[in-house]
Amino acid sequence: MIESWWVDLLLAALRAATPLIFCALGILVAERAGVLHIGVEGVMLAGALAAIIGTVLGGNPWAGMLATIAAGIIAGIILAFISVSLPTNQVVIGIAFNLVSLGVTSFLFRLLAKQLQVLVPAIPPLLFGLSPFALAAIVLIVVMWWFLFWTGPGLKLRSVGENTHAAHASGINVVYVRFAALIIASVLAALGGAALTMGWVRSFTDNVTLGRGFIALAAVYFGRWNPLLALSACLIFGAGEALAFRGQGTGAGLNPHYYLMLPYILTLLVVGLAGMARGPGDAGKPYLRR
Amino acid sequence: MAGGTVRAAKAVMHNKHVVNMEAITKTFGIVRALDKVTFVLDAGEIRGLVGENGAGKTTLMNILYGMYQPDDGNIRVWNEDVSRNWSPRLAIAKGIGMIHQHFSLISNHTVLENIVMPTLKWGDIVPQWKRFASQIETLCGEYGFKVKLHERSEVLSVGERQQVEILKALYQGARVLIMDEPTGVLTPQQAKSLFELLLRARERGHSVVLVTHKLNEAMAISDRITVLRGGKHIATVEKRSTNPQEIAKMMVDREWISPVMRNQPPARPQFVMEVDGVTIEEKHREPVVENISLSIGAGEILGVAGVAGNGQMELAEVIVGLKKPKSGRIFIGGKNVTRWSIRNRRRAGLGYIPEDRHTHGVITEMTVGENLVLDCVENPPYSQWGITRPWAIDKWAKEAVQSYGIKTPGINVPVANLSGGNQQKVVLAKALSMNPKILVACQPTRGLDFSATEYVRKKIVECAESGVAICLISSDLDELLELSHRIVVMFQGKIVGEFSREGLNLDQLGLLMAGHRSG
Repeated sequence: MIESWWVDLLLAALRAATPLIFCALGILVAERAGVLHIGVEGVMLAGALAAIIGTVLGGNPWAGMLATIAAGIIAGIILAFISVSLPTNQVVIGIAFNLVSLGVTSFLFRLLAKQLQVLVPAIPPLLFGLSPFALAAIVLIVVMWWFLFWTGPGLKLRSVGENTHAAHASGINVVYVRFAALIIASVLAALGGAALTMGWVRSFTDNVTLGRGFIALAAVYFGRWNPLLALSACLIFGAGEALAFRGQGTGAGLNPHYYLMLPYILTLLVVGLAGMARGPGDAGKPYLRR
Repeated sequence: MAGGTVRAAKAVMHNKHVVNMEAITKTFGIVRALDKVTFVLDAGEIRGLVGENGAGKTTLMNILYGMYQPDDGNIRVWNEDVSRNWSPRLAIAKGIGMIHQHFSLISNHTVLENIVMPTLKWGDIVPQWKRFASQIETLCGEYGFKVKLHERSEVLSVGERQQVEILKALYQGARVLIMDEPTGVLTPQQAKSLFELLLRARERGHSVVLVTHKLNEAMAISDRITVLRGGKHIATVEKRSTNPQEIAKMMVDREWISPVMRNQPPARPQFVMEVDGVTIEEKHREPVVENISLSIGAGEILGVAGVAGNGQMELAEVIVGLKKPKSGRIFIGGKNVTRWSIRNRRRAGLGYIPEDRHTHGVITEMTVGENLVLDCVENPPYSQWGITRPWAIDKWAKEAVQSYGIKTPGINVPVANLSGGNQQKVVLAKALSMNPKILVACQPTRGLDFSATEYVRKKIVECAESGVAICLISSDLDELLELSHRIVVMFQGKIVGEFSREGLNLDQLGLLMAGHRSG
């Protein structure tokens, strides 16, 4: 075993950050294509529930993964249809989706309450005591960075996010690209939810995500829409969460609720101090062909 | 002209239709932008496409490039019917490239990325940047471009950006280059080298469509000229068999308009506005306007000349109250208004035609009627006890639309749907409806076609004749010479010279604008 305390802290941070990293990856894809992914929290919640339902009813983690991906695709299609095909204001639809998702997941959870009141089996760690989720997250970050900045399709995707007019003029079908990007983004966010329930707390509760999707949004903002920087932001927030758990456990005389505030206060501080960031030029602007 | 005939002969030799657009119709909302327009382009010709603002030139070309879908009509390219599912992607594949007026470069990406991006496929996981770069460099050598491929396009000058756009089109294999108002942002030297480049492209058998509202440009290099007016095709003529007057007549459907009658300066002006020793500093403590004093009398037009960016706009903003001066005083009708709010200055009789009508002049999403009462909606008769009276607003808006000749389908149409000239008329109507005593007009005719320009200038002169003191800030020397009673020249934030109409010396004016002290 590695004894050094900071390696310990880093691994704990990575464990806590894994769901954030998946969500941040999803947000990156969507916003690089010019669609604000405010609905990430709701998608994450849907993925979190789907993972547990799949694992319990299907009997194994693979079924849970399948259910998660299916939930991500469905959520992605709904979001993409409303915010890209119609299109509607991306912020408003994102917020509305989060509220709907909170209601629907809580409702389904109650319908299946009898079956779901169990802890799903823990997923054995692969390397350094890290779950497959955490390792996949790291690999995906690097792949995403390479994809966005070194490949042809990555360049085209970024072009859509920077300047829809230019992208359209150069022959890209902006609507298709945004539609596809939102579906991929939602699958990634749903996987973030699965990493939280299946890979970590092993059960579902109402609103289990507790705003982690929004923290991931902050991480992307802090990371200037660059996967590697966003990873570091996720780790900072993960460290906050890990510290919160330890503080709660060792409980140095303080009410544990103070420790639980830590990740959120950290988010506020980091984003506040990070200064203004300039995102993709046309992010948030609905695209309409004349 | 031997060269001319050779070129013309060449154009005739390649007599093959590249593009054949028939009976193209397009409407935006209730505005009919194009009405059964036919456009035929041959290989190896330069075609001038001329018309006033809002004649439908750009719309027609955007349809040819697949940016817009036509409501009706046929498009054939290389004798193949492409009317269905036409898109920029297909247009590029058929060798049509368009360079838009507002460039479509992605400012955050490098020049190389911008040029190559449209040709990349979704499966190009490992693009061969080195090979692309050397291909582009070959192309650069062929046409005499000089571009830095690894620079972010944000940092390029306007002329360089245009070169990148043309390069992008050529790299995609464009055989037809559509240039939309290409010289609007170029210096005369840049424009000249652009034209040389277009001629070189024609020698290689490319076709060029030059969309412009500047007649002399179209006359300079086109083989044939197509005139659009009000969304209709008026004529397509050989350049050799026509002259600018004839084309101008087709563009506006009346003879060349005579210049505004020069107005008489008031005999002994009574000063209604004074600026006394005003200094403005920007963030970095560098004065942008330094110790400027001027006074304008009732009925007088004071022209402020200068190359853009020498403090004229800041001066206007200080007078209106958008900026605070560091020192100095401003008087309106003898009252010191230096510390007054914008609203109080307006009440004291200050009218403002801002330089950029979109950011300060009108709210483009709001309707014509709403924009017209924007400055005075809180006053009777437009509202009472803080509640608006729509009928009063409608009544005035209809009057204004009539008396200012604003071409609009109705007063409830968003200003964004109007052409530039009509938007400026809304700005003008709004400013003049308050019966100002002082009018600050910044670049009032920028970007307007000539009939709208004439209209605005005539209104300004009428205004002066009725006793309004006018501060006219313009970078258009002809405009200043035509309208002003006195001209002051600004250079680097200072007034470096003043001329009365009689004592005007054009050479000296030019030297002063360029920063040479008069000796």
